[in-house]
Amino acid sequence: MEDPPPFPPKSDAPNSQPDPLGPPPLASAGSLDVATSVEPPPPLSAAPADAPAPFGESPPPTEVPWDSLPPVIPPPVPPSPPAPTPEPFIFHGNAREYFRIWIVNTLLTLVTVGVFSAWAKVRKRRYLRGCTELLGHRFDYRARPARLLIGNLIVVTFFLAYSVFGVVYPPVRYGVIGLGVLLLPWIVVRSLAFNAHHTAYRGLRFRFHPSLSNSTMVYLLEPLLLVVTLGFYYPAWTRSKRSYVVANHRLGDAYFRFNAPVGVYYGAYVLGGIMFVAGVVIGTSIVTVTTVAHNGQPPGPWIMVLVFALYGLGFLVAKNFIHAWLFNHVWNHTTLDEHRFVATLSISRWLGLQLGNFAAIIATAGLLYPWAVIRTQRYTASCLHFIPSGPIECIQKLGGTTGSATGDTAAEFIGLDFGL
Amino acid sequence: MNIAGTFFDGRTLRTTPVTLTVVDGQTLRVQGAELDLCYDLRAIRLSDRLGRLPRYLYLPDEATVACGDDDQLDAAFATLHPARPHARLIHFLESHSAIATVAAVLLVLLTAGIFHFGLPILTRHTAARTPAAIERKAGELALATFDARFTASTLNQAGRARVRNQLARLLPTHEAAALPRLVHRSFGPGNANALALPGGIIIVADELVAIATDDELAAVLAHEIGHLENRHGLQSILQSSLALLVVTAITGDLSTLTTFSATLPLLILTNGYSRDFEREADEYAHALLLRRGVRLKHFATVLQKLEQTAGPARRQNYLSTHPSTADRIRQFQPHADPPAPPAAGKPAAKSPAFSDRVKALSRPPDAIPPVDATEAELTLAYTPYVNPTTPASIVAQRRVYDFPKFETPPAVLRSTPVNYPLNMKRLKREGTALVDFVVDRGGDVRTAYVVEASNEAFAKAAIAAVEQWKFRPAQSHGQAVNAHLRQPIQFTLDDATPTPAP
Repeated sequence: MEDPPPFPPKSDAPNSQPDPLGPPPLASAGSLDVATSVEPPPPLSAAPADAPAPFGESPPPTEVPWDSLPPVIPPPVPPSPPAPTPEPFIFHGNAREYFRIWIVNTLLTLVTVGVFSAWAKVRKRRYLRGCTELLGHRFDYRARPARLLIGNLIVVTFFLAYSVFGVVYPPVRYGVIGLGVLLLPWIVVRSLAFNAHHTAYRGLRFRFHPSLSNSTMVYLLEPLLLVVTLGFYYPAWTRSKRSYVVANHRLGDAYFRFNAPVGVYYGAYVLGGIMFVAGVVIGTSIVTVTTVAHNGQPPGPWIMVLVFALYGLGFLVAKNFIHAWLFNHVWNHTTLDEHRFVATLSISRWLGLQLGNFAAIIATAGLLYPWAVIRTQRYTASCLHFIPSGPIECIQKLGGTTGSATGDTAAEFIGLDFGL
Repeated sequence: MNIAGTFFDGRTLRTTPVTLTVVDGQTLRVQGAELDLCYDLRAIRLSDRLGRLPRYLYLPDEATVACGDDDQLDAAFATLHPARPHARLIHFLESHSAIATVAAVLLVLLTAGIFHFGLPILTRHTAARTPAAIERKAGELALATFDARFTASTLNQAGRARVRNQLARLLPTHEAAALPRLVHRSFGPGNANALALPGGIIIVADELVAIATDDELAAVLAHEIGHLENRHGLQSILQSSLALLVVTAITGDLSTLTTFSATLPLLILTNGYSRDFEREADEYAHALLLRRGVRLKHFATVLQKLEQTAGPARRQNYLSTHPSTADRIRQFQPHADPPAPPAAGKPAAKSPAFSDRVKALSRPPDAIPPVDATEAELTLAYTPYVNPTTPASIVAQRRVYDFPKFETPPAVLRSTPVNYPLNMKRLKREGTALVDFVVDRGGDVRTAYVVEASNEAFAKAAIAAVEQWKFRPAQSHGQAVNAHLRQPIQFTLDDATPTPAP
């Protein structure tokens, strides 16, 4: 399952989702504990100070009648603030508009053999984020394509060196791969920082503060745990990645926090696994039955096509089921200081949406891809709500450094998903 | 100019509605509640137009103004700060549906073109750059997969020597170590085949060695060498996996190539090489055979032989894995129809143009001075034997026959091989004979005579053979009828012994 991008930057993949931020439940700010008990004032001791009371004896308390006490007026209780209203994310994107943008940019990228890809990526991201509105204002993606281009060139040089030197001296290849693996945490950090820095809401930039040791832990050491446990650690690793990404983002001086329990991750993956296995089992049993019916002859091509379609369907259903369930779980447990998020994605509707997208893209050889993206973004935004627990204008800026472009493109080139 | 916008100070999430005005052409004045700021226009960055997104003015002190008015903004910034032309152009392209449609069509065409034209070039280039060690390894793996399907060869030393000799004949300048490696396998009855694998391996089926003469073997080997020289095996592997090809071409890393070579045998067995590869190999064989002095027609004759032995199943046969046989035969026989070898297939039905073609075939051979030839023998050898008109006896015998039009021509059931006259063989004389005969209702040959022949010896041999042939009679409306046929028979000398090893 891919890690969704840190809130709010959204990538233009159809399966992306806004950052999951969890619910921080915050103690309701309204109620004050008012002491309402009235106690009689402590009795005045009649014994003189220099004459210690005889041991074991205490003077009898002075009786104070109730009526002589002044009435106690409880302090005024401030009116409880209105219940926080969930503010929706509104997506203004238009499929036709985005198709035009996407097709022109893709054609130009192809014609320029990839040189234009930096501009294309910036434009597409800018459009998708710029069409997302919260509380009356939209998000702004303001990266400079030239920096991405420089990053692209560096990565391309890297690969050329790999192939050229690799031909001359093959062991260089292993060294380069090893270097790439070691650099992975740094690449992740830089690309997240770059994207966060260049995304702004109401003029205030987001920040991702890089912590290389944490990144190394999550992206280098935990995969070892994955190998050791033969894959059982995978749901926990997904959670760990998300936690790392979310918890290190901030908007001004408001920090994002993530506190989702890991059990739901395991539940989601187990159920998804069952769905996929069910698909495989059905497909295999079809093959077995037809083979037996034909006395040992393998089934014809149409049956095989059906079986592979079943496998693919099982995989798609499992993947999207996991995605939808975890989306809700993750966003419900993400908070921005004391503000929280609520996600209400419907699994069945999401499945229908994704399967429809898949069919459309296959049928049109990819030309309907932008339409699928817009559909997904619109539905995702409609399922997510932001619940501010107070005015958000008080969020202020903190200092920080900018990210670099190289990490961003390296991430794209290698094809790993860092939730960008 | 008065533009309405929203001001963000870049330090908090507070927003202020403001109005923008341009003062004296180079200062921007931002006015709002408790806000009155002036900025130099040159220090402000304006975001490019994109769809219907709001425009942002990025002010020098980390503040931002968002506004919606596109044209007025561009007008205000036009003189001092013109929008970069490429941004305007791209926005223009993105704004019109017609352009988008054209772009979509172009994209599809371009992608299809890259795949259709670019892919073969890419595979050829990558295959050429593959080091020999990897190619050899790929070939070994492919051979191992093949061995799972075929049984060991039962060919004796004489047969193997024949194949080896033909290979050496084709590649005389190669050292023994540089020659392609010959692997003999038994493909099963009726499956005569030869296959080329990467790394210089040629698999030859015992069945092919059994039915082919030495020259025909040379022709087949030349074709397989053509596959090897052009590295068609490697190219097939690369083409079968697009992902492999792209990765290999981009990174130059070929180690994964060997894992895919296991697919090659299946590819070849089920589909054979592509037609382009076959054509390339045929062209190479053509040139190589010419260079080495092997007659091109042997390739055509071996193909025809295979055509006969193929049978209805034709699984894993040379012909099924090497498509478009007729075209290939024609390529190797540019001037005449494929002449029927002595153990021929269906004889041609009566047609007038045939005798002309036969005349073309019976040209005098090259002047090779025969050894120990007497005057009488030479006279016999070089005197054509012609019957310009049908002999009277034949005419009389044929009176009893009627020859209605038939739909199905006679088909040969048994054709005895024609004996090559010994004295002609000694004199190294080749020739032809045209036999005219009748196939009666029972399928037997009657009233055969030779219309023309290169000499009398050939005529006698031809008649002797034809009279023994047995046909399935011609059919007309479901009934057997008589048919009148003419069959050319060619006598050609092979360079080596034509009899296959037992």
